[in-house]
Amino acid sequence: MEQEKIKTLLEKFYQGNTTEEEEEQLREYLRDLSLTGSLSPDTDYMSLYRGSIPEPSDDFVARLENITHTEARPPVHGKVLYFAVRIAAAVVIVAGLYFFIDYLRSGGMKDTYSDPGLAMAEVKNILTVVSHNMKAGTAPLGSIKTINIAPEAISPLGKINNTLGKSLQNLRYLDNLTVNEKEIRND
Amino acid sequence: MTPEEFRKLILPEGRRLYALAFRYLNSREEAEDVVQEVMMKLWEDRNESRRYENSSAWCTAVTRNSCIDLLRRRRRVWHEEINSTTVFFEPGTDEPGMSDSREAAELINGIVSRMKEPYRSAVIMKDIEGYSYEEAAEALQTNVNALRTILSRARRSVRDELKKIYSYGTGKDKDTA
Repeated sequence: MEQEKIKTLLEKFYQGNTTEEEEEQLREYLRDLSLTGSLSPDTDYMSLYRGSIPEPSDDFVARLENITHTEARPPVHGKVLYFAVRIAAAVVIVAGLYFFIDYLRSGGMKDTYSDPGLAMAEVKNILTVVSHNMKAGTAPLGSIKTINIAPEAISPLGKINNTLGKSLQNLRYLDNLTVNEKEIRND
Repeated sequence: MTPEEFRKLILPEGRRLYALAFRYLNSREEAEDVVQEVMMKLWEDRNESRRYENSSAWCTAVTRNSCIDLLRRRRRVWHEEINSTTVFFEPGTDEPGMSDSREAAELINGIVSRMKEPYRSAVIMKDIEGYSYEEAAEALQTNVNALRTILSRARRSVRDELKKIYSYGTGKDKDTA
């Protein structure tokens, strides 16, 4: 009868369905059996329950108590900074990926020509277009050249001014002569 | 948490954690070191109240993880230690008939130590250290039903392994009483 009960309990035990009371009961049954020398895997397994272990060393408790004499870690500023750096790094990576994917989608730089002659012709073509565009772009700047022409146009006026100045000096000389002639006549 | 509260609530867990760590490591010194590390972590985080909502379960989980890490670092299997330096039972405590049970205990510990997680932890916590199903489930971060399934597989595995060992050389299994 007892063996039947043990068998049933063992079955439940190996299925993981025993309650803690049933397990205690089973341990008691098997302990009694082990005392009669009827050892088996089941009794050996059960005998491990809360088996003895070496006592910890004498200073074990003192070592644990000493822990409370050390200083606690300072507040978690470091952790906040750590998370901030992680978030910033994630943002940089996402932005980098976005621009990289965008660059790839827009075509980007491609190695399209295998024939050097064809590549050269294409380069010439592109340079021609660039040159044409440059000419078209700089054409409106032609009117600015008039600023350079203006000083040249003004330079003859300076010559006229000089000539007039000299002529006026001659006239003043003649004036002096006429004054002298009047004085002579009066004498 | 004040040092006084810490001494009253947390430090008494040390002895229980030591026993658990010893089951994993089979070394008094290493078990003590692991418990000291766990207590140090708890002390340093003493201002984080969530740690103390269920400090017992947290201590158990951290001790278990520390032991598993240490075992990985050692890269040794339990049965090698059993053959050389085991100190599972203190010397000089043998009674008549103890020799067989001591050998069996060492044998089973060897088998358990070679189990994968979480089977090893389930056996150590529930069937060796005598935690309740709820406590063990919480420490293993699972539920009781899942723990029962894990235990069922682990127990059968130990039994089958033992049967194989006992039948070695005799040509038959050792029968249940």
